Amino acid sequence: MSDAADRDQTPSERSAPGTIRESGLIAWIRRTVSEVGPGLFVILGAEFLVFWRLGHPHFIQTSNFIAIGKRMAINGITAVGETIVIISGGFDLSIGSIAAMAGVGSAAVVENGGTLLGSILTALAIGAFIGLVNGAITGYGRINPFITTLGTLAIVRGVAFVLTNNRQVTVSHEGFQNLGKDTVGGMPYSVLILLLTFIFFGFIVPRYRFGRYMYAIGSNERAAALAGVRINRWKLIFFGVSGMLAGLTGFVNAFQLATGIPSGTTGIELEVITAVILGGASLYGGRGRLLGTFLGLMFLSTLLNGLILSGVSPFYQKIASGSSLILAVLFDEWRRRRLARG
Amino acid sequence: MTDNAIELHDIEKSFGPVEVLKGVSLTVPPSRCYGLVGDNGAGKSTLLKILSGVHPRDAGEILVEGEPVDFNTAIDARLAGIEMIYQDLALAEDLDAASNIFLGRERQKGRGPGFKRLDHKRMHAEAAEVLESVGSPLPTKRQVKALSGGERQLVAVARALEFNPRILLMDEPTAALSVEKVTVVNRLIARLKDRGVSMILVSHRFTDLIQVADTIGVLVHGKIVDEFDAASHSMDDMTTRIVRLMSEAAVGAA
Repeated sequence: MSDAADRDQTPSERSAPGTIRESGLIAWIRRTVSEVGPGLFVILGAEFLVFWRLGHPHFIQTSNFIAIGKRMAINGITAVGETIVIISGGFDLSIGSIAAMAGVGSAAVVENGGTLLGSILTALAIGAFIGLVNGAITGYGRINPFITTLGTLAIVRGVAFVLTNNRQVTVSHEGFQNLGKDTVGGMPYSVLILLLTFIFFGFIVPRYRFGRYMYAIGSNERAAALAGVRINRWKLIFFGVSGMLAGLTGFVNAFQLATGIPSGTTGIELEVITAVILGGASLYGGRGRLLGTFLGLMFLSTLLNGLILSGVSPFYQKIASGSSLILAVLFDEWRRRRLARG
Repeated sequence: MTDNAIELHDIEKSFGPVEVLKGVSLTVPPSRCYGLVGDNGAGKSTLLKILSGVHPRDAGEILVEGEPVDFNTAIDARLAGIEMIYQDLALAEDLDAASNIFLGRERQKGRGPGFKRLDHKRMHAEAAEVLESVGSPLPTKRQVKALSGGERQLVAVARALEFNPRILLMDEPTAALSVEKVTVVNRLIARLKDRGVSMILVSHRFTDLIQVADTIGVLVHGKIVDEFDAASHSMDDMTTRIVRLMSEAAVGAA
């Protein structure tokens, strides 16, 4: 194309700020900060500064970071699945119930003479099954995911209570207990599983159709359907993955406590969703990053820990996490509007 | 004799008691652009939906390159070589241009389940090529939401072209553009004709259509009431003619 209209718009002139142009590390960092939202980086930085300067001297210590990591693991593993579902335009409220059910199931397996492998597979299978049900109702049944998973949240919790008669399943299996105590090079198993989950999906998302369709369906479901993407099949996969990771969370929670608790992990979905939104994902779908979710989790997990170490009542944690959610999103919204105007 | 790209004979369609199309016939020769003008409610979108396989027709015949065709789904129409570009362009705004062009048909590398990965390099290269062939080069890594109306249109057309259509249907192709950008659509249509693609453009903005189409048809209450060759009439002529027909229709309806 050599007409004047094309020549006077060279690519460099046409690039707007915040869009992908250069390649390399700097570009990646810039893009990530822009997509995650600088608001999160600001509050995360402020949090560390405050707890480090004004908090307890133990805050900046390896042992404390491990404690933070262990707390992060429970919410974090399932947050990967929640991020996937939210980016694809869905919503999963049932993760806390799934985790409890899977925790009870995996504890029951080892308590009845099953192996460790059988235990973890049970947890994953329970989670995947409920996730697939969520996906089928949402996709093929065309029911809003909020309603679907609000329903399964109650049903699955109810089933866990019925099957156990609300009795905890205490685990005496040594291998199971050791998972909660042992470490790999100083790193607890729970933290290792957390990191592996993030690394695995962080690898998958940019390289496979899984990630491409997750963004495409969340961005414009009709467009994806018109392009021939099999929407319902992918919803099944996204919700299935979310359920399976919730099951994995249940297993991790059970071995950390050496107990399967039918009333456990109640309400974790709210903190998980807070972390995902803090991390820059849009509830309308199409936007979000796993790294953002990781940082959002880090912020929330550090908050409780820092408050306790600083001698502040942990009750303030809820107030602080709720306020920071609203502040971070407000800040990013304000920045987006300012950029759009400029 | 060469077959026409598409021929419609007496297409009829009713929704319940409402007759929307009352025997529409039109012919588009190869590499030609047919502009269908009509007010809201004249039946333009219904006709497009029949041609793209969304609605079945009640009566009439559709010939694509001389062959009678029957569509039950949008896939059937696509297989017959008909692509539709919707007024809203149906793009995933959070994805970049190349991802939109290859949405649903991603180029992959590696073999076997679990080893087929997206071939980003190839998709960006091919996207740049097809965009270049229909208009101006634009950054294929740019998110669609950061593109202008004209650039989005190019992305939508480039995506349709990846299906190698023989007939392209465009609903309100100039709606997303400012008046002076009609030249963008003009240039695009010329390039599409060069590639052997025939087009049916549908719009209520007839002033835009008469600048870009070879043949103009005026659709009023489900019937084509006038049809003429754009090259053999002056702009003023066509404008007066269309305005008269459309205002008569409006009076008749009242």
